Amino acid sequence: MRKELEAGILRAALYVLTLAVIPWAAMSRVSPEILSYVAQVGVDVSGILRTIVISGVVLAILALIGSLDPNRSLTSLGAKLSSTIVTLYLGIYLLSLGKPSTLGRVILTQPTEGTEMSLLLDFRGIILLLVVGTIFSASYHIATFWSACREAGEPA
Amino acid sequence: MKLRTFLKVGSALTVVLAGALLLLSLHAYMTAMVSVAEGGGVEVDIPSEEGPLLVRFSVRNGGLIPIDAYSSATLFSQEEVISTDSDSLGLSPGESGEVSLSLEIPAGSRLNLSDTRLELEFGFRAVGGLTGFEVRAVIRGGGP
Repeated sequence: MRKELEAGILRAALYVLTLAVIPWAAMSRVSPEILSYVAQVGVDVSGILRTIVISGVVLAILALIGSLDPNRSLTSLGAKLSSTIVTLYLGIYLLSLGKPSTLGRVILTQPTEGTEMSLLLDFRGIILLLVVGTIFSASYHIATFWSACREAGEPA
Repeated sequence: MKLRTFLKVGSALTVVLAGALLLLSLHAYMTAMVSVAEGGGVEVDIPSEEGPLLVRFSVRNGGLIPIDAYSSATLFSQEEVISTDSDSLGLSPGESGEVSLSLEIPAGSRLNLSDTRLELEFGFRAVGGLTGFEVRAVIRGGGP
């Protein structure tokens, strides 16, 4: 139990560091010209950064909740499944450059005089792999919960 | 226990595979785009007044995975398609090639430049089409 709590705290700290602190620090070093150019082609960098930071904090809280209760508790299972879903959403959100409804097929357009230029990025295959990974991960958490319940002799 | 191990390893491997394929694809697309730019970009040329309109570009796969380069061009006059062509080629890592299109302009058709537009697409696909990168340009003839 104590080991799980320590692992949960470590995981939470890693989420905050990698998804909140580092992106924020990196963004402050990007020049405003680059940010305004990226905004012109339709990518909302500040919105993406905000979502990453919020996801980092949510994942950290879920990691702590998941480690506070034993494996056989529904709270722990719920926290772990929620964490898996938030991670998948974050992956889809990033691969769709902040437009998750496009599911990884993003079109960036830059109209210029006499010519229209557009750039298509298609990462739907990568998202499909992430979905498969999420199904594996969710099944693992459910199997762990089931097995912990059986070991404790409680009905799941 | 075996099922849980399988699920845990499967989950980790799938995510690592997705990350690796994403990075390899992005690297291959970047090097291919740089090679197109270094080779003079996409050339659009009409050797004579009757055509054909030629579109070509050289590309080199400097990435670590095979890619498919493709291109298509469509010429419109007064919103009607008057000519279209497409070409594609597979490139192994380190291999170079040229994508070439020829748009025949039908005999007797008089193109009014102000009503003419050329839609040009070129792009790359990798990992059996799991990822893709495409540039599309619409070039309009004449001014407003």
